[in-house]
Formats: sequence, structure tokens, C-alpha cells
Amino acid sequence: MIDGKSIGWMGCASAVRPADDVELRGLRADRYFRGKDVLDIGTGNGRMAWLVAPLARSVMGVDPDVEAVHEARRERHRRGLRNVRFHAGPAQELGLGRRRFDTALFSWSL
Amino acid sequence: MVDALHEAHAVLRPGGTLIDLRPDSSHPPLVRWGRTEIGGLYERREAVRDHRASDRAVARVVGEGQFRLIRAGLFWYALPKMDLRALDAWVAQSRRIGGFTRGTRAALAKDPEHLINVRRALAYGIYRRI
Repeated sequence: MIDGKSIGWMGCASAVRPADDVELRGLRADRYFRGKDVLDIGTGNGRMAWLVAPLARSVMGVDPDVEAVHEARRERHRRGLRNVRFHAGPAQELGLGRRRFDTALFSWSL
Repeated sequence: MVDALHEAHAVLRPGGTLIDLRPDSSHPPLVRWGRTEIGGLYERREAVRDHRASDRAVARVVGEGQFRLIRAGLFWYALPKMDLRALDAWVAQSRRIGGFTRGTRAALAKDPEHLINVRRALAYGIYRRI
């Protein structure tokens, strides 16, 4: 039992990561996200992208896991976020063309 | 890892920011009942090795003059409270956690329904792109 919930969710890696904005609060790094173009490297299902999106000008999430990126795109539509995009690709070869960013975030991904 | 950091350097604007956030293998998770410390969990050898490799990769790109450290630190967060059965399940499926430190599980087994607090350390480094 986990706080009254089933343990079924524990199969999801992100489930054992902070559930709220504890990482952003711990980082005390809002200034590096607010109004910035943010690259979330190893975004997975977009967990950090959702947290950064309200602050950032734009968020690009990149992950080699195509399924996770599909899930993140579906969630983006569900949330109606216009400033978040996702791209499937490895961190070593992002394939983002000439696009440049103000902040690159490796969250549990380096 | 170094390749990924080089790629991050390539797509960051000059003066941009690199943030590296990950579990800190030098501070393994703590296991508590309320505020009473019961023991801990240890990380798998591969996880510790990967953590050190990431540290070396960051040190390398800093040494190459691609990034400069702005600040670094560590903070703790709590996992959702869980009983021993749930903690066993989490440890079994975790790619990072190898098991309980000596005596921890035996102590927890004395009251398996008691909700357990697990606290984990996250280390971060914030770097300026040169």
C-alpha cells in the first residue's frame, strides 16, 4: 500500500520521482526557465516539461524513447499547451537543425 | 555522456544555461518510520558507476572550457509513504536501487504495515555555456 493507492503504478519509472514541483523548488532556478526557450533532454513522458511550461517561452522535450514521446504528445494535446513540443531522438544527436535554446535541462538523464 | 554534453553545448545560445539534476549516489536513500531513522537502501554498482561517469563527463566539458559552474548543491525529497510490501516491490523493480542496507529490512519487518518514509537526495549543477 502506498498512501492508500495500489502499487500498480510503481512499474512507471517516473512514479518514484518527485510527484510535484519539488525539483524546481529544490533547484531554485526559476530564472533559468522564466521567458526562456528550454530544451528538456531525456524528457521521457514530459514530466518536467509540464512543470517548466508555465514559466518558459517554449519547451522542447527530446527523448530516444519513441513511445514515451508519443505519450507526451498526447498529454500535450490533453493539456492544451501551445508552447511545448516533443521530438524523438538521442541526446548525442538531437537533430534540431538550427534551433537554439537558452536552457538545457538534463533531469535524471545524464 | 560527453557526446550529449557537447550536443547540448551546440544547441545552447552563448551565455545559456545547462542544468544537470540527478540522484546523488554518494547520499543513498534513507528509510524512516516518521522521524525515526531505521536504515537505508543501497544503489546498484552500475548506478554508482554511471553517476561517477556522469560526474567525469561534466568535469571534462568544464575542463574543455565549454561550460562554467554557476552553482551546485543537493536537496532531499520524500517518496510517497508506503508499507513494506510496496517498498519491496519498488526495490525489486528499481534499476538504481540494489536493496536494503544491513539490518534495515529486518527492522522494518517487525511492523510491516507501518508506513515507511524514504528520502532521496538529488544533486544538481547549474552551468553557463561559454
